[in-house]
Amino acid sequence: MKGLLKSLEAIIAVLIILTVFITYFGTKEALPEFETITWQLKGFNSLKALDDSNELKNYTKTNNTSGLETRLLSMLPRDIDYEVVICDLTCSDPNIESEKLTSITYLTVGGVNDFQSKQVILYMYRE
Amino acid sequence: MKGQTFVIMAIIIVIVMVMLKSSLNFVKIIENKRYIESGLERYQFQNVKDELEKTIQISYPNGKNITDNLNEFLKFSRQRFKSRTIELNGLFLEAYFPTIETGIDTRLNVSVLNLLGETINTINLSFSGSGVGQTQTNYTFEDYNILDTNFTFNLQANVYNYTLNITYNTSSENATKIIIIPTEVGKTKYIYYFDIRMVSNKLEQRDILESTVILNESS
Repeated sequence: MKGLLKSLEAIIAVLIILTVFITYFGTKEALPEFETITWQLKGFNSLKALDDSNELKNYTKTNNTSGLETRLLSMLPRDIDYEVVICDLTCSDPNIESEKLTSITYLTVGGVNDFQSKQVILYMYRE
Repeated sequence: MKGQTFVIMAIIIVIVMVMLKSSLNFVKIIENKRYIESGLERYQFQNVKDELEKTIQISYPNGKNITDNLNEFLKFSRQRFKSRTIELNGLFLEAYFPTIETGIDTRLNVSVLNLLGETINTINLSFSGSGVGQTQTNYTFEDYNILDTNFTFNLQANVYNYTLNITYNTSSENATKIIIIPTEVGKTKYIYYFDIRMVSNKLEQRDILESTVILNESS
């Protein structure tokens, strides 16, 4: 009889814990996504650094996306993939398929004797 | 171990679980995320302002080039942001005069670009100073339009600060701004006043950029 009571109390204890766990932790509250924002900030700062050092115009002038991608290799986190689109107002879609994808846009005007309003779109993703 | 011990332990575990849960402040985390995201918008606003100033630097030495390039970049940026439901608005005034010679009439070219996102009902430009008092009034100055006008002055001294007074009203605002036109014999100058605003669903930003650039000076 004493053993049965002990078992019953143990079951009650487990039930209490389970009830509270399901009530408090059962509803899924998704944590906000911070990683892609970090990518955006890093991407923006990288393009700004290139613009400040007058390097960016060399790539935008000739639409040299592959050159710019190579230059960004040492500036962006190693664990992400990225693709650059240089365009004016109409920009092509790179058709990237990825669950985690973000992009930032940097506006630039070119250089001396070479004024040209352009946007550099940096797509960052992880496959 | 007594049976009640299990229940007591269960209550302790439950208290710890509740405390853990309440320490996770989701509202604060979401607020932090919004703050970081708005930081990115601040960067984008800064990007526009930096490129505006860069446009002035790289469009030397011709004042007309500066105006054309600035107008192009502003319209380009505005369209770009509009596609992302961010409004880039503002009023952009530029004034330019060629190299001044004493006692000879010099023309001050003034250009105003309306990107306020609404029609300016009345805009009044008033140029005043020693021996000068000229006023021009324009009505129904539409969004995206440029108002080009000019005033004349005859500099008698080596250096003189004229005043350009701009007053405008729209359905949502009335504004007045006084801009100093620092004339100087032998110099070509470009003066700008940009009232620039960026509005999104997260943030409203506004800044005034104004300066005088010496484009050329004769020796």
